[in-house]
Amino acid sequence: MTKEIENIILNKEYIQLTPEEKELIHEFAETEVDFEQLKFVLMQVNSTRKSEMPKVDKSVKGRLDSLFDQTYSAKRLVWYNRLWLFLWPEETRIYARPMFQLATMVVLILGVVTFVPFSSTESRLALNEPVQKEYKIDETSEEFKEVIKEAEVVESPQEEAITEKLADNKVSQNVDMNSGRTLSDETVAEDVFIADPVAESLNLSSAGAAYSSANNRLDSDVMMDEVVSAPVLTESVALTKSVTASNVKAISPKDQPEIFDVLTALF
Amino acid sequence: MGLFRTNYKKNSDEELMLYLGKGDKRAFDELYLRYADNLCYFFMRKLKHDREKGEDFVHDIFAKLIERPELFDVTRTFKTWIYSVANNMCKNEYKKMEVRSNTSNGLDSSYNVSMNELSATEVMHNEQFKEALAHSLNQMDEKHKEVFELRFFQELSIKEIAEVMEINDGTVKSRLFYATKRLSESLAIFDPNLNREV
Repeated sequence: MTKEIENIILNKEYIQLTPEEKELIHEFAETEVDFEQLKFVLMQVNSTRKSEMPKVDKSVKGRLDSLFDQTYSAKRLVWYNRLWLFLWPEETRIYARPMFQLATMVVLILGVVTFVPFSSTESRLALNEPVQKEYKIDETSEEFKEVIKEAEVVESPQEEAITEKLADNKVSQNVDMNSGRTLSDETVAEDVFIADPVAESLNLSSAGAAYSSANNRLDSDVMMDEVVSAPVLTESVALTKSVTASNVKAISPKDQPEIFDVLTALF
Repeated sequence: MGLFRTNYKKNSDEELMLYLGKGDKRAFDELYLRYADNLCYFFMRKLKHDREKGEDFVHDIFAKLIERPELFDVTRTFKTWIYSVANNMCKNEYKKMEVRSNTSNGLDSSYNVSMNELSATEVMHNEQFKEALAHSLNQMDEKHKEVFELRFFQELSIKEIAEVMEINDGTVKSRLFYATKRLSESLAIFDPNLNREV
């Protein structure tokens, strides 16, 4: 008798049975009388079971407990093993084990201490940040226009005349390969600059020659003296270029030492 | 400590046996709680309702669990295994009783000889029904009686009965059918409808 048949017999009346259920219990009860009789017997068996079910005396459990203690007392763990058993009980799930929970807390605290920035370190980091500013030239500003205007003024008619004269001289480009100087440039420079009293006083005729010479040397590039390093050379070229024949007069006294430095470096 | 205590009520019997083998007292307590009363009832029914003997047998079977937990056959479910052990204990006891009865005057004092004398006036009482049931079961073959008792008094399934008795499911079903039919017929006198007619 399966559980299904037993449930049908115990929980249903014969008139409630479906044909399938009747077919199922047919072996046990062919008629309604048989069905009722079987039902009664099973109900009585169940009630008998419930009423007869004994409660085992507590003394039995007491005897078993003492036997258990005797049997496993030799196997009792020393206190540190008990501590380990508490921290890492094998029967519990891993996340419920105290050791795992403690380890997780330690990791969390270390993580917070290591990665969360505190106020003291924050200010230090701010000082170390590089400050980058973008400079923009405002071409519409008055200042810019003035600078442009000044630059245009510097290109005087005197400069144009000098250029023409240079062209007319048709000086052959006899380049001294050893020194890298152009002889004609020296001549021109001397011709032009000596006329200027300021330049004369500063002995800039030779400076002008040096300018031309340096210019040629740099344009053709240039066998530089080893003493002159690349940045100095660049700087001196820039300065030399600014010392054109026409604007020598505009050189202020404070610029003069720089010119001499350039010349010294070149020669 | 209470936060991390395992709830043994959710553990299976087999898991509890595993813990018991490691000396876990609470696992033993849980197993005792689950089976002590049922096993006592099983022994009582098998040993002619001798409660004292039933409790002694319960003690013996749990003592075996404590002393030799490795005896548990891990390939089987604990329930069928423990009932098999209990069944074998009863068989051994029957053998001892046979020896005792042969050496005594041959009378079994616990056997109720008045069972055959059930009268129609007694049938309404529950106690009498119990006696009639016990009588009917005693008149049955041991194999049929055993199957019926395991099914209806210990509430084992057909598969579990088959495992305990080491027979196949079909045999259990046929024996159960036969026992039920026999009981139903022999206890027909207790049918309320029939009683009304009487």
